[in-house]
Amino acid sequence: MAKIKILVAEEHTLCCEAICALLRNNENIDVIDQAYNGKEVLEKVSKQLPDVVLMDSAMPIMNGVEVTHQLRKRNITSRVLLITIYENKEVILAALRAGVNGFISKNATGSDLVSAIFAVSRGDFFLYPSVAKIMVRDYLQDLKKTMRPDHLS
Amino acid sequence: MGKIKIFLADDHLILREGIRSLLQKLPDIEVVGEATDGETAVNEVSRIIPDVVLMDITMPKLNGLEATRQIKEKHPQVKVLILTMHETGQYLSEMLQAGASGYVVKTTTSADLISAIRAVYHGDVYLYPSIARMLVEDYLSQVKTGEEKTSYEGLTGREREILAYIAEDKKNKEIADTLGISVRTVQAHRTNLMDKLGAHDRTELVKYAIRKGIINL
Repeated sequence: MAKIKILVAEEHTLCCEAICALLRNNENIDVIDQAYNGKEVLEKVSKQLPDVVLMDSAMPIMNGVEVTHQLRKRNITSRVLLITIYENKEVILAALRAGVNGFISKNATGSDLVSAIFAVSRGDFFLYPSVAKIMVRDYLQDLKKTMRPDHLS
Repeated sequence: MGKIKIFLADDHLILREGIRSLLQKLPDIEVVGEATDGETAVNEVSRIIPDVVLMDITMPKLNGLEATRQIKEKHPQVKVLILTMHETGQYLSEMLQAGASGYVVKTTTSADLISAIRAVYHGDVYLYPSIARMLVEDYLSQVKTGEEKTSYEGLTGREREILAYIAEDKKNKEIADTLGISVRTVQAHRTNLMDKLGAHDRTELVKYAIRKGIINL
């Protein structure tokens, strides 16, 4: 199996290096570059076309959702795995519409992170459980609304 | 902290034994009971009150969907994690409505299964990545329908009327004549419609009208 080429985008140097070190322990993952702000991510991803971009949602100049939107506008299909801290419906929805392929939290374990990277790289979607919870709650509420008894004859 | 108490409901012995031996190695998880059919699962879960039930969908007597519904009705605090061979997620929506907290397929790794158990135990939701995609697609289309519904409700009666005419390919002049208003007023309504519906041109307005059933093809 070819290695998964990944670019890590995270503002805080120490965090970024820690994540890269963790991923370099995995023989199926190849960390090809790092970036520290949105503009840099956009430039590097456009040039290097990694398989996966592991991207913090909060970054200087351009946030992760905006970067994803810009990448999709340029028809770049690198999978985006977004690192989120503050999860709410609006952020999740904006990210999904921008074209992210998954959500992971900084509270995730190393094994969760690796699972998430494999999942998005093969075209699946990864929903970190706290994000999945918000989405499912909202989904079920919407379903209930559309199935109100007054819609029945 | 007490251990997470797991109940296994699956009609295949080898799977139950395998999962049991897998989970037994973990310091924070213990298997407290098993059932080979849905009916027994419901009864045993009522007696034992585990934290998490690993539930197969296809089981004799009572299927996993119905068993989940009954368990969640009687014991809402018990979390149900669906463990199935169905990778298409065809029952996903039903399972979530029945109260399941997660959906894992049998081709998953043990590390992912353990992550899933811990997530649902903590009140979160775990969806296996191939299944998650389906929820995301469903979710987005549902949100869109909801927003369109709201945006349609935000239109005035006159705007709805004009939208219908636009969809029928009537020109501004014709609409103005039919309604006895000026072309300039029609143009203003048209601009408001585009704004309210987030449409950029006539084609998008027409597409919207078709989706809403305002005109038929």
